[in-house]
Amino acid sequence: MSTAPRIQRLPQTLANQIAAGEVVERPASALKELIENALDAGATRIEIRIEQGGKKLLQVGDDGCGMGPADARLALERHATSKIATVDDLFRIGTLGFRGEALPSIASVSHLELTTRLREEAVGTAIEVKGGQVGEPRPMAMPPGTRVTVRTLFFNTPARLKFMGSDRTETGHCTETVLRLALGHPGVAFRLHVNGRETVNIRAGEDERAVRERLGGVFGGDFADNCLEFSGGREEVRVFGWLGLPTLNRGNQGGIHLFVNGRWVRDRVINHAVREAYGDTLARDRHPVWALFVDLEPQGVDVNVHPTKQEVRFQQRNLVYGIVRQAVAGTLATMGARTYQAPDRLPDQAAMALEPEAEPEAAVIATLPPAASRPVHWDAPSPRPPREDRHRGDSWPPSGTSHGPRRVAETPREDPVGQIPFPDLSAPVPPPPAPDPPPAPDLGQPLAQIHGTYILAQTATGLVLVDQHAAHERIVFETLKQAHAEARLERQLVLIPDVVELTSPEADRLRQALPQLAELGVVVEPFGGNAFTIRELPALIADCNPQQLIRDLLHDLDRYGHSNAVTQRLDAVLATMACHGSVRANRKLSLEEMDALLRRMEQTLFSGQCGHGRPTYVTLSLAEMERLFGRR
Amino acid sequence: MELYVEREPFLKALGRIQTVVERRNTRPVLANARLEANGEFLAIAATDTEVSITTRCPAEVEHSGGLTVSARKLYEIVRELPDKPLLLRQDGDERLTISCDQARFHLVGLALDQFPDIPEMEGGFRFSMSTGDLADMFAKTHFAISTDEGRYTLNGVLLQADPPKPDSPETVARLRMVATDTHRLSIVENPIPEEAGRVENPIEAILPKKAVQEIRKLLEEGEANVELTLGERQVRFALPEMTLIANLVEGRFPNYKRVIPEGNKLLLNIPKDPLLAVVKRMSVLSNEKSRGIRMQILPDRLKVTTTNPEQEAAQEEMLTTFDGPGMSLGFNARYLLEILTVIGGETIRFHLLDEDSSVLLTDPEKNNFLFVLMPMRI
Ligand SMILES: Nc1ncnc2c1ncn2[C@@H]1O[C@H](COP(=O)(O)OP(=O)(O)OP(=O)(O)O)[C@@H](O)[C@H]1O
Ligand SMILES: [Mg+2]
Ligand SMILES: [Zn+2]
Repeated sequence: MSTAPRIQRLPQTLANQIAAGEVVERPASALKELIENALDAGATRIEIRIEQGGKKLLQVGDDGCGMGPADARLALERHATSKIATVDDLFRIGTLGFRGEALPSIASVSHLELTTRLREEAVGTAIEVKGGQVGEPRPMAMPPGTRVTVRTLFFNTPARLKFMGSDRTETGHCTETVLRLALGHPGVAFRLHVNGRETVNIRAGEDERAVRERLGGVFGGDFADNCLEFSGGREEVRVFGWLGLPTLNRGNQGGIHLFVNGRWVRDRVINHAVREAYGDTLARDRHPVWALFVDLEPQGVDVNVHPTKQEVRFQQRNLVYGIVRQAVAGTLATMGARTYQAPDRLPDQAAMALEPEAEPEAAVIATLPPAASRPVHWDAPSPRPPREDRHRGDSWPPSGTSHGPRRVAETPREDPVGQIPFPDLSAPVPPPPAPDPPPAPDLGQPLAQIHGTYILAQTATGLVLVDQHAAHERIVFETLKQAHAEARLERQLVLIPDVVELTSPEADRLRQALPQLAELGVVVEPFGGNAFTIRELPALIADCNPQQLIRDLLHDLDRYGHSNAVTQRLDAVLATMACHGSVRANRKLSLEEMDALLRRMEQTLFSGQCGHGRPTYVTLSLAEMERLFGRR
Repeated sequence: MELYVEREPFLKALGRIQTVVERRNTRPVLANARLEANGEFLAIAATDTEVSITTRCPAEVEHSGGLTVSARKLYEIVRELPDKPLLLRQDGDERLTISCDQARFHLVGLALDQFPDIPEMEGGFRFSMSTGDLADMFAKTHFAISTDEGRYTLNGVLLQADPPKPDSPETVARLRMVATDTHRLSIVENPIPEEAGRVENPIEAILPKKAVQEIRKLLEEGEANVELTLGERQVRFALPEMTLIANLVEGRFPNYKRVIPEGNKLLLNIPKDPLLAVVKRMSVLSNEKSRGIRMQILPDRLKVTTTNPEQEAAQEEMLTTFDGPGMSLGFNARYLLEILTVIGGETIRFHLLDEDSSVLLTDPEKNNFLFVLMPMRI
């Protein structure tokens, strides 16, 4: 019998390679780590070079704080970090990095060179690492800051190398990473060279042009003209960002960018909150396009939940949900009749040539061919959102949102977590400030009805074509919704109540939701054990299947902590009523009728989209007409 | 098959089967009617596999045979033809030529053997009943059938035949029909004629909504009696010229007896026709979808009011007398109207307990039916 221990300590290099498997999935993930380090170091300019999709070369240079020779060596060791020191620190992370894992992981699967210089030193330090073997530091003349060069990534892990995409694919991912981080850090300039050619050049700054550049980079050039800027929340949880108009929607979640304390993450609770706020301005299977920033005290959010730090956990999920939903819904309510407006000219940030693969899926439902091949497009001469409002000094970034080591200093380290007062979950979310009335769009004077279906109108700047059914349906729907919201809630009592049997976690969830449900007119009573009976239903949906309703509700509560199953059903009834109650296609309209419809559209919320998220009208500008006839 | 038929009876027979035929069906043969020469008659059948109707019309048969052709086209052709004799001639298994006066139609159908078998009823409890009584029972229940397809046992009318209670003076069994959509309940019953024999064990059958609609139509033809057979899986309604067989809904109907209120001691008699007129008028301005109206019951009068989300309102009063405390109940006007329309008598009686409890509605002159209605909070 052998007594040799079977468990062995892994050699350091192998341990790093295993960690690398988690941290560094592809060049873009290594790039993300390097840029985040630069941001944590307080850089104001970040220079990035990639070659062959990052497989041959990834280089990130910054003008941040830099490191001394000893720190530079330590930085390449696992679990060496300057960013947290105690367990408590882990619960109030204000930096993007905190594990001390990224650099050694990358170094273990590449040839890495780190050159760095403290501002106050005259010379810098260079260290080379080959497949995890850390070389000796040597002095080097260089400007202050840090530059990390990663060559031949994955050279010693052939299996991973096989999973890499084409150069184009990987370049696309890297570019996306850069643009995304740039959007999250407006105070920092970013420049990207791909195979020696500059493809991204974003200035630091928060003026409108800089903001447009950043938004354009992530969403495409037409976003800035088709979005609503917003900010809201309260002191402990601030939210701000940009919401794409509902007509600018997509079939996937690729147009969704959430930043929590400057960190780009995915979070289905927030996605759901925003999606709910968009409600029926979009068809059920479409996704809105938005960038949303949530800023809160680091203690309020656990960032240590995902291997590549792409998910977070909110301590007060419900509070955040409520704030996001209200802020978004309040903003969308100001939108009036705006619909998607195609760009008049190519975005002036032409320098930001995205790789084709990184280009967001164009999903503008205005039945328009892609912008490039489109000779002429109809669009909406909708009013700009109130510009004075767009860049209130404090709105971007909101005060106290600078990320990086400076941020950490703002929170005294000695504070034990438990003593930091954090907002109470039960505190009601304050209602959003009454939205400014949206400027009424100008839909012009009706000229004629076309094919009994569309209204042609002339405006000061061009032509408008209105889909009469879709437009009228939205008007009727909004009127109904408003009327029903203001009216008493009629409830039908149930003679033979359904009994639903639930599992005990479901029952707990439902029990907690009972008061809110009752407010919506759904009265559910415990029926012993984990059974419940449904005693009253809103009269409008009295014929719905209550069992199904409860199941949908629990599903939502489980996944998102909130549910709109009831309001959705109510809205669906109103939507059907609206559809039946509005003028059909192929109905002749007199000029007066057409005029009345246009005037009502100008005054109706969301009149730019029908209930299915399609535009209710499109426009053709004079300029476009002139171009059409070769006058321009 | 080759035969002559008169247009009038042929059209009538085709009319009986029209609504059974499924227009949108994945099995094309189900859109067809089965035609078969049968002695002195042309037998016609249609089925959606759940409900089947067979009927016939007199014919002068030259050659026997049969096939299936589109029920809808056949009906539309015959409807448009002049009132002259028709010649139906089959060519091969699938082709039918119809000649009438100067017109000629060639239809392509499907062979007889493609048509699903129409089940034959075996066993079951069989009895005859007056068509009028049966039609009245369906009229008093059909509107309360649930439209929520998730509750399939409520998507039909419950037919119950109970033996007489051992200690009751009654000797005959009763046929009862019950329907509910969980907001209201209709119950109506009638004696089963003595000749039918004894019902040994209670019988329960849930007749699906579509069968109810079909049978109501057939009962309109005004025959004196219907023969009913209640089986385990099927029921059959037989009239001299036609038979309907329907598969029953499987499952148990909820225990409706529990929800018939027994303690509703406060009685309010209201003249039925005037109330019907008031509710109709008031409901014009009720919420278009939820249809809420309010009945305010005072010692000397009844005040009916309504408002809608557009902030419009209506109100009307009727003289009534009531001994209880004043109360105010909300109702879905549609539910009330449906009940008021089928009550035959002069008066409707509300049996009340309080504002939140179910209300029993009866006709003081007739005790074979009752409605239970849940109020609405408005
Ligand atoms: N660009 C840079 N400028 C200055 N210091 C840097 C830079 N990059 C890395 N460092 C230092 O090296 C340390 C290790 O970096 P590394 O990325 O491995 O870990 P981390 O950022 O602390 O945590 P994480 O693994 O979560 O990224 C950092 O804590 C920081 O002190
Ligand atoms: Mg790091
Ligand atoms: Zn419609």
